[in-house]
This record gives sequence, structure tokens and C-alpha cells, in this order.
Amino acid sequence: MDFAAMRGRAEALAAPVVDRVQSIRIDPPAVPLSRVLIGVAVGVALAVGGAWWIKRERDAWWRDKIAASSSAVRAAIAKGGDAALLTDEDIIRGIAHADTQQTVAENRLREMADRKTEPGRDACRVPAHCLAGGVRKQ
Amino acid sequence: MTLAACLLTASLAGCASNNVVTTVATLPPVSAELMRYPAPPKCALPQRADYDAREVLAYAHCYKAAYHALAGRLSGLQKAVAVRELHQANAVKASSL
Repeated sequence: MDFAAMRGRAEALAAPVVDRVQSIRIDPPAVPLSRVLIGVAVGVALAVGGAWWIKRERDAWWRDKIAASSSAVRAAIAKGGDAALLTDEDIIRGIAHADTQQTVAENRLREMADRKTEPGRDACRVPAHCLAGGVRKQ
Repeated sequence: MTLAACLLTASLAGCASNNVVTTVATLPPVSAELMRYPAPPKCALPQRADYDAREVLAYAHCYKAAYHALAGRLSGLQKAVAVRELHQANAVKASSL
């Protein structure tokens, strides 16, 4: 089949449609008001229904996202809380040890201060004014 | 009144049953023991004209121990804060949608 034959066949097929379009363009048919109203009503219903459906899908998506995120945050916070409490216990143990060392040192100093000096044995004395900054009374 | 407002705005914002209610999740506060203000060390020598050398040594050791106790307390507090900041950052990371 050559090109001219194909074109002729296509024009023959399109002729009724072209005629119809031409007739509508020249003399458009009157549309009854009832049909216009029905069309508007259908359009409004479709718009409202579509908006409702879109909103429902969007809200469901957000709810799922927020729920998943909330559970992830709660899991992270719970894990962090346990780790923080364990760390606090370790630190408090370390502080208690250091405090004990300090108490021992304080007691040792008190014992030394309360001890009676023995002439001859404690011959090496440090004058008070030789201590850097002096010794202040608490 | 609330019901009327809910019904009026139902198509736009949804009623209370559709709202997401959140509760704040937080890390535990730093232990009160760590937050306690440290007492000053009792390392003073009595008022005398002179001191035994061992007494002066004990005086120095007392302040050294006090320094280490204070440094340990500060270091522990920093560590406690760092752990909380790390896990808070992880929670914020997990919260990103």
C-alpha cells in the first residue's frame, strides 16, 4: 500500500469526525441547564471526594511516619537512659574512692598535727614563714 | 461549643481523635551525688611557729588528694554530660522523618 492510498483511507475515516467538529463549531448545540447543573454537581463531588481521599492518604502516611519515629526515639532515649545511669554509677564509685583518699590524707595530717614532738628525733623543723604563701587557719 | 468547632473544622483539620498526641521523652537527670558541691578540704596546719617536715609532707599530700578528688568529680561530671549529649544526638537522629 503506497502513501497516497494510506492518506486517502485515513481521510475517509476522519471525514465524519471532521464534519461533526465543523458543525459543532459553526452551530454549537444548546446544552440544557439540567445537564450543566449535573455536570457541575459531578465535578464538585469529584473534587471534594478527591480532596478527602488525598487528605486521608496523606494523614495515614504522616501517622505511620510519626509512630515509627516516636518508637525509634523512645528506644534511643531508653537505651541512652540506661547507659547514662550506668555511667553515673561508675563515676560515683570513682568519686567515692577519691573522697576516701582525701579523708585518709586529712586524717593523716590531723594525726601528724596532734602528735607530740620528740626533741632530737624530730630535729628537722620547717619554720612557718618558710611555707609558700604561709599557713592559713581554716 | 468545642464539638461544633470540631464538626465545622473536621474537613480541614480533623477532630481530636485524629490528632497526634506526643509525650516528651527525656534522659535521666545527672545524679544528685555528682551535682553536689564539694566541701573544702580540711588540710590546714595548726598555727605554730614551726612544723615537723613530715607534717609539711602530709599537708602537701592532703592538698594533692583534695585536688585529685575535685578533678575526678569535674571529670565525672563532664563524662556524665557527654554521655547524655551523645544519646540525645542519637535520639534526635532517630526522630528525623
